[in-house]
Amino acid sequence: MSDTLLTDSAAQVFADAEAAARGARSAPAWSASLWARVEEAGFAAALTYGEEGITSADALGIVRTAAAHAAPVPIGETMVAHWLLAEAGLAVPEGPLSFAAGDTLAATEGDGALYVEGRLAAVPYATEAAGLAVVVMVKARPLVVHLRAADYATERGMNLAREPRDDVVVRTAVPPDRFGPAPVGLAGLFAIGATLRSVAMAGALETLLARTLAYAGERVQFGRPIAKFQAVQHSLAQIASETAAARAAADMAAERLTGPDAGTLAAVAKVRAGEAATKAAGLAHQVHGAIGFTEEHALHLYTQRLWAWRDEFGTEAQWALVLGEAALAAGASGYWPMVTALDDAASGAAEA
Amino acid sequence: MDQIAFAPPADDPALSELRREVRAFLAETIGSHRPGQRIRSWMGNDAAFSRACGAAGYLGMTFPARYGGHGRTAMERYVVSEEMLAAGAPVGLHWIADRQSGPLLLQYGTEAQRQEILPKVAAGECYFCIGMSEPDSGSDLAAARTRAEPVEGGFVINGTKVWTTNAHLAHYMILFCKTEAASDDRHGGASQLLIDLATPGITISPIHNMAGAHEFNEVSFRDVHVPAGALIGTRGGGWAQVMGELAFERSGPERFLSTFAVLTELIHAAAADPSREAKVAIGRLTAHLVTLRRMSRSVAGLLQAGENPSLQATIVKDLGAVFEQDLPEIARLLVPRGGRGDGQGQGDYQAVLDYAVLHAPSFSLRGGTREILRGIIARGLGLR
Repeated sequence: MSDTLLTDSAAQVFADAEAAARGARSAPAWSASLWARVEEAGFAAALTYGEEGITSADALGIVRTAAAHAAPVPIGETMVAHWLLAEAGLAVPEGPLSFAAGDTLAATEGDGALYVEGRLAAVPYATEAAGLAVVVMVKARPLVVHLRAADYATERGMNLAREPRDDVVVRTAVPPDRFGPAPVGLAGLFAIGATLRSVAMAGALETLLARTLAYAGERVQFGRPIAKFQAVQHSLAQIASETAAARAAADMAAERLTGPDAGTLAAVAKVRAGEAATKAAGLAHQVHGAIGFTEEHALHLYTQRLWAWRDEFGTEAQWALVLGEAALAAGASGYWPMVTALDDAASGAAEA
Repeated sequence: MDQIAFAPPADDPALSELRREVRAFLAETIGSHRPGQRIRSWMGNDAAFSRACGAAGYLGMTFPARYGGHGRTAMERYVVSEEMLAAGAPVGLHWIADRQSGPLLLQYGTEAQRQEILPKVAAGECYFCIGMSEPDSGSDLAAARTRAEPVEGGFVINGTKVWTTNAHLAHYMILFCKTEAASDDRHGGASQLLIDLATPGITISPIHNMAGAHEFNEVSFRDVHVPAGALIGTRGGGWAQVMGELAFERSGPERFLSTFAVLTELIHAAAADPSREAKVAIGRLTAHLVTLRRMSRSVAGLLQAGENPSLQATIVKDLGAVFEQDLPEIARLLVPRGGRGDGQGQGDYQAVLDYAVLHAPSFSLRGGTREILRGIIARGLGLR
């Protein structure tokens, strides 16, 4: 499977996702039938396709495409969970999966089993998931734990866009064939989550731009399409620039989902894409006028997701704090070398 | 939205070796410069430094060896450029020649022009200025009225150019002017001429900017005779050439690194006792900087691949100007101008802040105003 095949195939699978995302007024954003198509396409394992030459950036292209259609399925979450379980040498179940950093769980080893107890907040699609991959620290070592749906209870929660974000209550003994060494620690997993959301924001922004351009070209006021007014053109230009910046930042983070620079690049992406989301969503609503503020119009499928995703896996301020601390630690003389190492594989390797 | 896609820049392990080399060169040549000098960046002038850059092989890098160049890639040139800017090297004298006039001559110049000029540009001994804006046509370049009347053996030029950076220091100007009879095509009838600024009839008058610096000039032409060999490219084809030239002018690292010294001095000043507010603000600026750099490097990669990324270049310049203008405004609120946060007195920090505040308005004017850039982006989106 080449990367372009992957992209084309994702575009097909998610083409009609927007209709599924509309759903009933207060129902969670979830489509079992769309999930069946995702599973059939083999996307769940995309992050573990390395041997077939699929990079993490290619795999996250699926997440971007899904977000560009407001797809109501946990595709990114499943891909990461699948990768965690596979890297830990564990069997990977069928069906939608989700993941969480289990820093609020107590985990102790005994008699060959792992006792896990506690509460996880706002786990994406926990109710719909067939299982969770949770990273817990045991004796300062990160372990991946595979929790099956039967191992936990969920309490329904939703984000602004009505995507399931459920609390999970767990108290169980996990047998040895369902836990193993994690490929990433708690902070690393949180950064992967931030990158997933940044990539998704880039996808939603692309649709936001396309829809806003189309609307401005159709809507006639004062005898001409509003796209002909310079003030509107400049708003559209800014949406395009913000979209391009979000995409560039998200691409960088997606290219290095793991490794020494992953956390810093995730921070760059989450800050930049989050800021782009705020600006572009505001401008898109302004260009759309009152119709964009209705439930009937599809604009909110994208703006609500952008607003929700800004807040998940760390806000712009939280990640900016991380980046600022790194910058101050590098100091005035080390700052520029830090910046160049981030997007220059050769230089990064040389200085590592 | 393929037209606003920024392809990942190609990886090249040779770049890190070059980067180390340039850093060592800069440490040796300008290691002792104070931040107040560094903030001048590509407005700083130093003939000895320009010659040293030429001797080190850092100018005319992408020119072929037969024109004194080094046959290196656009990405290699990018590394050198950004290292120079990040260090605040005084690259002003050779900057325009190396960035756009040389490449323009390489693309459109006559063989005689290339042989005469390019080796001197590569040596860091030949400086250029750009004759585009006029008193009555700034952003509206097509309204330029300076005229080069074709006569036996050449042209006779009359008109006035303005906002001409470094005309008083440059050897040559690339003049955008009308050579053909007026027609309905606003973009037709223009040409580019290579002007030796020592030619009789040219008067260069200083225009001091509000910071008191002499960078701009007004350049008037009164019956200036130039030979036919001064024509660059096609007579009447100047508009297309000048638009291509602007892609070189708009995408480079100088579009977001002009005030870089403010950021490093801010980090220096805040480092002793950084507030959470300072960390968040510096982190946010870092996210913007890293993203802009990625986008700018992507444009360099596209140029190297022979593509025409003029829309992407325009996006980089527009976002870059916003970043450069934000920087001093954010800095002054985190570490006040009169503060002594750097522990060495306020000299360095205050010097860079003052310079940046006073020059910031120009960042969204030079190289195309914000309004023009957003119009170009809108056109690229199919709105015009």
